[in-house]
Formats: sequence, structure tokens, C-alpha cells
Amino acid sequence: MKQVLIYNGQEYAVEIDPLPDGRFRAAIGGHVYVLNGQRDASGTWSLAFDDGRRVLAHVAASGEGWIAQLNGQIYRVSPPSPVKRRGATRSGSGSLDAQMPGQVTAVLVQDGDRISRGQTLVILEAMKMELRVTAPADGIAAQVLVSAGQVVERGQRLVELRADE
Amino acid sequence: MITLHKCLIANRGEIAVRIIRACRELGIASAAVYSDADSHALHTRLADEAHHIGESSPAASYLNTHALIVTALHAGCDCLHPGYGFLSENADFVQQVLDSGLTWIGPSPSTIRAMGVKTEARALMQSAGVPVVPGFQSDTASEDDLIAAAHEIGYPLMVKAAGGGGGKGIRVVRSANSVADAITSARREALNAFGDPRLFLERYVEAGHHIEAQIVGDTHGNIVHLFERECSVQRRHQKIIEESPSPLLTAETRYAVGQAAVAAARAVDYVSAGTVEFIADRSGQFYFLEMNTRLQVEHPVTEMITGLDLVRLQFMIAARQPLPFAQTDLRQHGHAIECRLYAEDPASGFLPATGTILKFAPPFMPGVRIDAGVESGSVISHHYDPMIAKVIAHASTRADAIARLKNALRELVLLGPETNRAFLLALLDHPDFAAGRIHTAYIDAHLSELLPAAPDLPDAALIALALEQAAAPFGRAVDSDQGASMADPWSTHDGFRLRQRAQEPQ
Repeated sequence: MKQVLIYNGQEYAVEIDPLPDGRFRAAIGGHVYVLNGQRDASGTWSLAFDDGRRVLAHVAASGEGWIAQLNGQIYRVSPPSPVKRRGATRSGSGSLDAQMPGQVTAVLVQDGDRISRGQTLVILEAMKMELRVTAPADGIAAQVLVSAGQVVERGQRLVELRADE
Repeated sequence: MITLHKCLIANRGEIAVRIIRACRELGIASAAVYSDADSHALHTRLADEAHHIGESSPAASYLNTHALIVTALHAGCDCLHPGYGFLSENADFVQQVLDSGLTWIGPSPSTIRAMGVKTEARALMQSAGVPVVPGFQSDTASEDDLIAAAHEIGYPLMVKAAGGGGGKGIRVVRSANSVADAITSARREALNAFGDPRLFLERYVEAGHHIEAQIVGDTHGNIVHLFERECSVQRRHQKIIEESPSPLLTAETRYAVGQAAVAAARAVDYVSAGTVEFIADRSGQFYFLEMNTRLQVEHPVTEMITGLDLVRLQFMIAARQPLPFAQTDLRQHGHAIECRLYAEDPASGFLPATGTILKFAPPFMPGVRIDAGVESGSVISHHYDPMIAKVIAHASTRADAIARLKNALRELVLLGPETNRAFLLALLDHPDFAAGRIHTAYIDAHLSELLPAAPDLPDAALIALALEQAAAPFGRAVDSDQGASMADPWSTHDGFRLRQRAQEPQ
């Protein structure tokens, strides 16, 4: 069975097939591995390769994908669906989104205000940290969607922008 | 001497857990408090009792002085431990605690007041013969006075909040034309964070090392130091890695730092555990920065090299027992080093990360201590500090302690929000860290080269992930009830993403 995963923006493919003796055959590129794979109830895979090599992989489902930890290193992967990973900061299509979850401590702009690149529009605070959300370009603050004191999620839209005609 | 029976723990997270365990060893009952967000938190479930004190925001719960005292009295507590942060250095709260007949596990309100305003602490230390950084302080200074004083001190200099701490309200100013801006923004931040807009100026010690000395004093007039910690690995004035002994200090400077710390503590009749912070330049010249009148986050470093239990000592001192040792009984044994694991994303400017900890499994290893307030299933919310755990390693030499800490960090299973683990490992691997050359401005100046690149996906990871996907298609974890709902891609915060996608063709 062929599995495709997206890691760090790239597609990775592996062909995995069970063998009659309970082991697996895994083909990645031109490389073929034969291994035993055991999963415990908490999601830790113990991989035993036929050359004796052992690997512990801690795996959990998260959001739209999975997370794996091997040797202290974290790998976040997603299925190759059109669902995008979260974390877009500015949509580029004329809006500003919250880069972190938190509370809006100040809104420094009003609907229709002319704004210039770098100008602070909204101040967010979370966990002892202040984040200034600034205008990515000159333009107009078409619509302000949050108010001071409001709690916002990561990715929530703060301000709609439009180009200055 | 008095006997303490039941302690209200006015804190959350790892330090609340730490205090609950100390209480248990001492035979003191523990009463935890919790906010809405912490109703299932580890400290809430671990304590002998737990009492709800308010909504999730700190102001409504862990900073709610009235609710804390009423809860303590109602629960029949005879003492209150504040942990660190929150109300631990709030002298008015301490006075209320004392007035309500409870024993405060910490220094007196007058000590806290004397050290709480940084400008007053500086003046007091100067008169006690403790060296302070050249600077300017005046409670009545206008913006123009501050700017004039800044020109006199010269650049670079630091603008600091008089009522501050925790890295807030601090600006480094490198030239005259940015000083006015720095004063304005530091003042706003200080007012928001501490309700106190007063500022002071200090010459900026270039490439300074953060050296602090742990001190303890009892109610019988005994004050000793428990040696130094070096906490120079900082990002934006937040400590990341702390160790003892300091790789910078010579035996002579170490002795002098200890003496200065004891003199500083004596000047305010210090009772309980506290920390005197210094900044040291490369030549080993050191200056008083501030005194933290509470337990520190990094206290385990001192515990590991001295073999003492600082929280236990705090309870003993509060019970008016004399210190069970003298200065000459104390030694630094081996080397201890701590790092702070934070829920934050180094790749996006260290923005705080939130979410559920899907799996947390600390390793069991010799010489390793992990202080955590979380477990599998805990939620990291935006309400509180993003620290997940402290990982501390102790070994006979610094190099061995570093190797041990790296090993522990790698073996610790931690799946969930983004963390700074890879960044910590990169720091611990860095030759400048190995050589003890990291100063307090180093990380911010070298950030881009310190950020580890995303590693390639090893074949074993791909195989394990593919096996998991085959066992649990469409993101639904097998064998896990909670996994299924968390993994549902349509359950959380997706509205904005759908909108965003819909806009793309335009």
C-alpha cells in the first residue's frame, strides 16, 4: 500500500506491505527495508529492522496530521489533501490575522483609516508577551473586526485591509 | 518554634506541584487553588484538597487576593506559599496574609517593599557597600530629565521599570536618537505590567554575564549564601538555561559574589530564600542588579549542587527553626544545569504556542530531574506562562552535565504544541556555550545562526508515520478516545482557514 505524507512542504512516499510472517516490507525510493513494527497503546512504535537496528518512534494524531518524535526530534506531517497547515500569518489578500492566541489589549485603528506600512494596528498580549500587529503595506483599514479586551484564537482575522486608490 | 499543619498553595503549574510534594514530605497538608482553565490540571488533582478561586484570567484567580485569603481561612490553612510570579513579591498581599493570621512562606513585607522598587533597592545596596551599575534614578524625573540623564550616562544604556521584573519594561538604547522612544514604550509596558510607570537608567554592561547568588536567612539572624547560578543564556531578558557553578567566575570572584549577596540580604534583614542578581563583565567585575524576594524558577540547580531542599528550608524557616547549617558547612558538588522547555515556536519568532499536550513521558535517568506541571492531556492555554517543564541534569563536571541534559531532552517524550526543544539542543551543542562565552545579549544577537534548520525526514520516521496512518486513517488515532476528537480536522478554529482558501482564486 502506498502512503504519501507532506513534511516541510515536500511529498514523501513509502510503499508498505505486510509480509506473511507478520513483518513489513517498506520501500522508499529505491531502498527496501524489512522490519517488525509494534505499536503500544500510547502510540509508540518500536521498529525492529532486519539488520538489527532498533528505532522508537512516538506518534500522535494532531489537528490535520500527525506528529512523530524520534531521538528528540519532532516531525509534523500532514496528509496530501488540500487542507493547509495552520500558521498563515498574513493572507496576502488584504487582511491581518492573529499570529498567536491571546487577548487584544489595544486597537489603534478605525474603520476607513488610512494606514502606512509598518504602522501598529492592533496589540495582542498572551503569556507575558506583547505582539504588535503592523500594516504589511500602505492602504486603508477597511474593517476592524476586533475590539480591546477580546480574546482571539490563532489565525482569527483582526483587520480587513484594502489598497489605497 | 511553631508547627505548620496545612498550606494554601497560591500558584499553579510545576511550582505548585513542587510545593505540594515538599508539603507531603514535611507532613503538612496541601490545599491547591485553581482557575476554570486549571480544573483538571496536575496540581489541582495532586493536592490533598483543591479549591476553585475564579475564572481563567490570572486577575480573576491566581491574583485574586481576596479569594485566596478567604479560601485559605475557610479551608483551615495556617500558612500560605506563593511560589514564584503572581503574588509572590506583592508586599500588600503579604501584609493581608499576615493580618488574617496566616504564616507567609517567604520574606517580610518590609523586605519585599525595600527590594520591590528597583530604584530604592539600588540606593539601599549602595549604602550597604554592594557595587551597583552606574545609572540615574529619580522618582520625580520627567521625560526630559531622563533624556538629559541618559546623555550624561552615555550609550549603550538600559531603561528599566522601577517596579519591574521578569524582563518587562526593559529597553536597551544604543544611541541618543532612540532614547525618547524607548522611554515612552518602557513606561507603557511598565504601567501595564506593574501599575507603576516609574523608570530608571543604568549603564549597559556590554557582553555581561548574569550571575545570581542564592541566599537563605532564618528568623534568628543567620544568613548564608548557597553559591551562584549563571543565567546568561537569555532571550529578550527571559532566562533559558541556568547552571552552577558559573563557568565565568574565578574562586576569588565567586567568594566576593557570595559575600556581596550576604551583605545585600543582611541590609534588608532577609528571612526565607531569596536571590541576589548581579551582572558581571568579562573581567569578573560585578554589579548588583536586583534582589528577587521569592523562590526562583531555577532553584533546582542550587538544590542539586548543594543537596539541600529550598522549599523545605522555606517551611522550616517559616516555622522559626534555625538554619541547620553554617556557611562553612556548604560546598558546591559537581555541576548542575537546567533548561526551560517552553511551548513556543522558534521558527515564527518564538510566538507562544497553545494546545493539548498529546503525550508527555519524562525519562528516568541518573542525575536527571524534571519539574513539570503538565502530563499527557494537559492543555497549554494563552492565560499563563508557556513553560512546560524544567529539565535539570547533575554530573561531576560541566561537560558531563551538558551531555546528560542533552540526553534527557532527547529522551523526554513530548508531543503537542510547538516547543523550543530543538533550539535548546542547538544551544547546548554550540561551541560558544561549551566555552562559557554566552553573555546575556548573545542569543538575540546570534538568533538566526542559532535557529536549527528543519531536519530531513528520516526513513524510520516516514515508516512509523505511514504505519500509524495505515492503523489510524484520516487522523483518527487508534486506542485513544481523546485522540479521535482532537484529530478531527473539522473540529477546531477552521472557519478562517476555509475563508482564506475560498479567497485564493481571486
